[in-house]
Amino acid sequence: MSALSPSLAAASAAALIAATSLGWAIAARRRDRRHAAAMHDDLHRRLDQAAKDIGAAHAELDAFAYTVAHDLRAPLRAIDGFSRALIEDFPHGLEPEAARLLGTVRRNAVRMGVLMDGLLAYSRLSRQPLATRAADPAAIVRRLLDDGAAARAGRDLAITIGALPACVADPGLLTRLYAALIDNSVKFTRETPAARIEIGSRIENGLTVYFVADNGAGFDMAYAGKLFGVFQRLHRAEDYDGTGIGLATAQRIVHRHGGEIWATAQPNAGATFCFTLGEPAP
Amino acid sequence: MKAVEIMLVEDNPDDVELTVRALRKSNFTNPIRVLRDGAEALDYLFGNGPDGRPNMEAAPVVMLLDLKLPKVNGAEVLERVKSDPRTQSIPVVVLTSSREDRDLHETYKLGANSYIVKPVDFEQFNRAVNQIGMYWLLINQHPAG
Repeated sequence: MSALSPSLAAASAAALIAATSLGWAIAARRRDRRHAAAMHDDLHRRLDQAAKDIGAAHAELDAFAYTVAHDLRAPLRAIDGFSRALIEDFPHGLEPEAARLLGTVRRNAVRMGVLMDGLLAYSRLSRQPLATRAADPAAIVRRLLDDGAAARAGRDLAITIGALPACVADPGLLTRLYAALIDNSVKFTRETPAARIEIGSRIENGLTVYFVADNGAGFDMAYAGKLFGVFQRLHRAEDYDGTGIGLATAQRIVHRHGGEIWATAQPNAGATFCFTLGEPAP
Repeated sequence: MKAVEIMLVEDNPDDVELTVRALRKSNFTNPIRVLRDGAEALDYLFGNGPDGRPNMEAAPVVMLLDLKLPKVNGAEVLERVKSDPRTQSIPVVVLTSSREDRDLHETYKLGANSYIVKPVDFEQFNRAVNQIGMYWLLINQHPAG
């Protein structure tokens, strides 16, 4: 074997170094790729696990809601029914005060039934699949107002409907959302002379913001954080009845659509509820 | 008059008492047979005749059926009753605490004639039981047999 010339030796050394470093680079890239693949697999595994966990959580929630629906109602019915039986069977044996106390027992049993129904309906909201399609808020609002006309009869209340552009939403849920907001405004304008409710929309940062505004009882913005909580109420039960489920329902519906809901208000000057829906109108 | 006109399939004794009370308060004096679980109900309908054969004399005018029952649940009782030609004309009123959609769908698919959610409010419960009795014992026409 003849000796390599120095320049050739240098060149081959350089080539060797280049090849080696290329080899390292390739190996490193392979390692990276393997690493990436491993990370990818790991991510997939974790996603699968998360999906399974969510599925299990939903099934548990389902079972829980079912228990609430069935098993907790029976004892409540017994409390109410047997209190009533006592009043019926011993009308002269019970002193008026005893009858009054039993009446309170009954009223509370019935109220707990109403609360449980509200809670169930609320939990069903997150379990039922979202059926989004083109929806017409204007038609929904008009129908709701027609349906509620009898309940508002004799009240000094003017309701105006502004522009309500079409959107992509679950029409059934959008109906419940508007029902909750309109019920809320109708309720809290009960004591307001020349009451007004305005239902409309405006464009803000390219998004349609739908609103329901009234000049009713309003609330102190210091408590705004509690507004959408389940069973949270900002008014005393003797002033305004209610279960504290309506606005929680509204918020959950808006969130399920990927939107936002918020309110601005002033005590005794009214409240405005605004919401957006995730997808813009087609 | 049949020996049993109202068959009440209900495991909760308090609900039995309230239902019977509501029927009597509405002046229905029809004989009531209470079965305390699904197995007892099936036994009563299909297994108590002479020689262990079904005795359709026992068939009621109307069956009030709770869904959640020990041993054999209400849906299974319903399925059995509605798939047997000898019992399928017995009107079955599902009387339950559940207002879940899937229960409603399932029971109607199995052939329930009516589905009533038992109200917590006893006055409403009374009214519901009264209306059930009115409709199925007085208004509804039933094939003779």
